[in-house]
Amino acid sequence: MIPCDPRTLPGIYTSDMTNAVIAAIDDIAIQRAKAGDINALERVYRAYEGMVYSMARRICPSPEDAEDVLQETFLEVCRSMGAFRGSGDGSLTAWIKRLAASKALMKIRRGKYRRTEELLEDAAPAPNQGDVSLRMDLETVMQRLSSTARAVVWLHDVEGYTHEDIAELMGKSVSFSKSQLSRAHARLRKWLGEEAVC
Amino acid sequence: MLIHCTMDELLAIRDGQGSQGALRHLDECDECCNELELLHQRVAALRALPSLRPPRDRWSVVRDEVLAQRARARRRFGGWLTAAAAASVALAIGLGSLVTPAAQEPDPLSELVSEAQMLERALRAMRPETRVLTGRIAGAVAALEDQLELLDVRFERARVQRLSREKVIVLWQERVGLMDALVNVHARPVILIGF
Repeated sequence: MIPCDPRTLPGIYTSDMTNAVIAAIDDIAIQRAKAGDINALERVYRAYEGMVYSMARRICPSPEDAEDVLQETFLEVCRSMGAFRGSGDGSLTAWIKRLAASKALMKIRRGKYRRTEELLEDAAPAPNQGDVSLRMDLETVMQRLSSTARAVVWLHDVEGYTHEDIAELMGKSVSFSKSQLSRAHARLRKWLGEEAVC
Repeated sequence: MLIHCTMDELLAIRDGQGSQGALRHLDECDECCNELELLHQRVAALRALPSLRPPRDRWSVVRDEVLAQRARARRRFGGWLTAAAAASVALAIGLGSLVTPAAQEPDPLSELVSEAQMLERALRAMRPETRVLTGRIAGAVAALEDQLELLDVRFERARVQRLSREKVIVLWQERVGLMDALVNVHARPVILIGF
């Protein structure tokens, strides 16, 4: 039997691999990319495509939307790299992440599917808390949240953005971001039907 | 009756901003303690989700578009240089006097279309997609974009119903007004994305 390495499976590679590739972007490559060197820009793309696509996929409702966000983000990276004022790969990561978040939020703001999705969200059945077989997978229930709620959960709880950052990115108030997060967690809690642990 | 923590309060406690009352309650309530633990576990599970790789390689599309943009920019610059050189030569040899102003009345529809195009170029040059807007400005932008979208529908209707030229001009006037407002809104100070 051939050993199954998750890194060879389509659509997935591990965090370790992502970190290793990002670490390969050194200051010289960043400087070359800032000067417009197309090969250096490709290195930046290769290093960050997984990070950007993952974030976009968690926020956007469809893989196609996430691919669009990936493309739009890197077009912007290539256009604006010369104006990027950071130096290390840490600040480059934060810069690209923020561009991707902005593009993803723009995508869901312009989407025409929100109403249908929110209707689906409200119509989602509450699983029986005692029946493990009815529990929905975390990724599945995330997809049942509205795009806005999903984006707030992902940006705040996973990417570490503050409510102030999210409000600014979304063009909404801080209290809007907080209430979206709270409602989203209440729904996730209900849909997952988690059992008490302590 | 014991009042348990709301999700708002649990999130505030998790983020180190819980009220004294909620914290006191948490010390005494196993149920709320469990809910907080579940919240931590849920977030940990989200953070542990695997990275995803795009199903298709988009680099070739990005690279081609970047190279095409560079080529267009070079051509524009070259064209501008040529035009500037031609204008200088024309001035130098005194041909300027041969150029007579157009005698006919300007066409209002063409003028409006040109104005709308100019405003669109101005908007593109501002690169609004790179900016982080404040809530108030984002709201104004969204409202204007919605109106432009509705106007697009009216343009389509005008095309299908073959409305009169005068009515089409009114639509174009509205479009120019909205585009102008959009440019003005984007021209306000904003935060640029980047560090």
